[in-house]
Amino acid sequence: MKAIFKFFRSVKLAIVLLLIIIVFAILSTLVEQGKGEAFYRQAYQPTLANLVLASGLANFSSSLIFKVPLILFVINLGTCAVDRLVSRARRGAARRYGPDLIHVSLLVLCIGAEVTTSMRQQQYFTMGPGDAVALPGGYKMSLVAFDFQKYDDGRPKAWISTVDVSLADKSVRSGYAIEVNHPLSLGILKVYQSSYGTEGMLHLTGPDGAGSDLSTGKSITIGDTEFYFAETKRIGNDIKAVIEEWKGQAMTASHEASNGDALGSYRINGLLERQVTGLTAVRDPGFIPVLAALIIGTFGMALTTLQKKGKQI
Amino acid sequence: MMADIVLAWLGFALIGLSAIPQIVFLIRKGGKSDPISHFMLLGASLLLFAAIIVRSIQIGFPAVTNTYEALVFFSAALCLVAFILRTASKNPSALRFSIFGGTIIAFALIMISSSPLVPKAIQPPIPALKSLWLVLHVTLAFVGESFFAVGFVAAINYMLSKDEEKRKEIDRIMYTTIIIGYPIFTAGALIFGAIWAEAAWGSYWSWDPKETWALVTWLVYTAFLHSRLVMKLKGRISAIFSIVGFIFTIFTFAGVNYLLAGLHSYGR
Repeated sequence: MKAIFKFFRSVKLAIVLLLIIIVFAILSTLVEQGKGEAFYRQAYQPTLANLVLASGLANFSSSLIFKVPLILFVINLGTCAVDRLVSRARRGAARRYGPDLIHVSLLVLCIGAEVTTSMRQQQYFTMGPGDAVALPGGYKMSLVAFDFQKYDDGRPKAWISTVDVSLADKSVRSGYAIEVNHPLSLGILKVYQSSYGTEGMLHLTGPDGAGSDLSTGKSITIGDTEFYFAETKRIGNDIKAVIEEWKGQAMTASHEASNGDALGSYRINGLLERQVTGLTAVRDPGFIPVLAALIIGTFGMALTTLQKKGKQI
Repeated sequence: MMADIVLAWLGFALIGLSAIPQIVFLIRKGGKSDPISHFMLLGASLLLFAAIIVRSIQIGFPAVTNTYEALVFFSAALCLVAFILRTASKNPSALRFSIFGGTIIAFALIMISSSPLVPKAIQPPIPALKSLWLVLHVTLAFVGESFFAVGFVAAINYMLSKDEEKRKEIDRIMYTTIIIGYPIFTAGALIFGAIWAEAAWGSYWSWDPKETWALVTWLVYTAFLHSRLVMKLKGRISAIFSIVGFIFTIFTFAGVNYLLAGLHSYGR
């Protein structure tokens, strides 16, 4: 037991683990992260692709080459922190809590990061003015207005989504402006301004006369064909819908459709285009411990620096 | 010519001029440091900061949002750090080589900023960059890196020096600059960077190449401090960590933007 404790409190171990993490982290920046297997097989030679996939470099943060040294480092850090406190208490040494706080903050940071990895929820959605969406926690959010401001040279100045939020029919926020760097906070849930764009909307009439809507990025299956509404195209004043036809995993056709055209047994009787805002709702319980860790770490560093101040090295 | 560019050029000239007395006193025997160059560096720093302030007034936001502004700020911070170290030092002659190296790096940064490849147009920032967290992130990271730059030159000086007494002094300079720079860099590059990323994108860490390289740089300096404070390893090993750390710092700042794609691509 003593030998295990001695092994894990070793600073040499900490440095070796740091060097291992450094090397793999550097290698991971040379590989595009989080793509599918097919991407790597196409991008690299077969041997290299196998190596990238088998080593986990393609998904570094969730790979064993990162997690194993990190877990060992966390154990090492915890053991060192306990050892420092115990040995100092035994010796009655001077109280220098700065490094202890830094070590504790790193442990809390690792816990927060793990909570984020396992519990973070994210949902991207687009909204046009008047649209409403249900958010986690029972909130209902409706978009009052979307404003895209530009500088004189045409570069984006601000994207502002003005929203109303209610919970169980009671207003919680009214006319709240969500902007980049200014998210909407509803307790642990936050809504971020992510993107903007134009969205097409097709009004379809089925063979039985019933109507249905199809927006950009969505598809409808008619018979054995899936019709995917890819995007809208403007040609002069005319708007066209780019429709892809899929059978199973294969795209069999792509064409531009206008008002009045047929989609299988359905007919298009309306094609509109509107500006939409792209919002992302994030629920990340890990950010609270991470923030706590950052505050503790900052305090620890300040304390360490103050205690070191004036000391001849 | 725009006022900010004129101020930057004057700062650039003053950095260049400050190198002259430094070279003279480095060549001269006696080991004394010159009495004026650090004041010239302070003047250069003030001129460069003035250039940043002029741009900031014009765009209505602290001007640290593109490569040109970052290079000017980095150079200004480095000149100021050199002045502070020289003024606060009890043994300025031991700092001569490190301050001179810092001057050369500050000069090189401004030279790069004057390249036609670096756009100098005064433009207000895009929405993602309009955050005070970003300002803290960028400015503190560069201040920390300025201390690392002096530590890097001290490490080279250590490697080149053969005199054991001199080496002890240089080793102390290397350690002092890094232990001051480390918490500033940590706060700027990592802590405020994470808080800004959370506010802008809803994710405090994305394993973007620039983030990963900043973390790697921080880990190298962490290893430097632990090898020194706990394992009592000084001298050569510390110098190697310091050199590698600053090479990684420069790659994180400049190399990643151009060689590796990611969230920080607007920094080009």
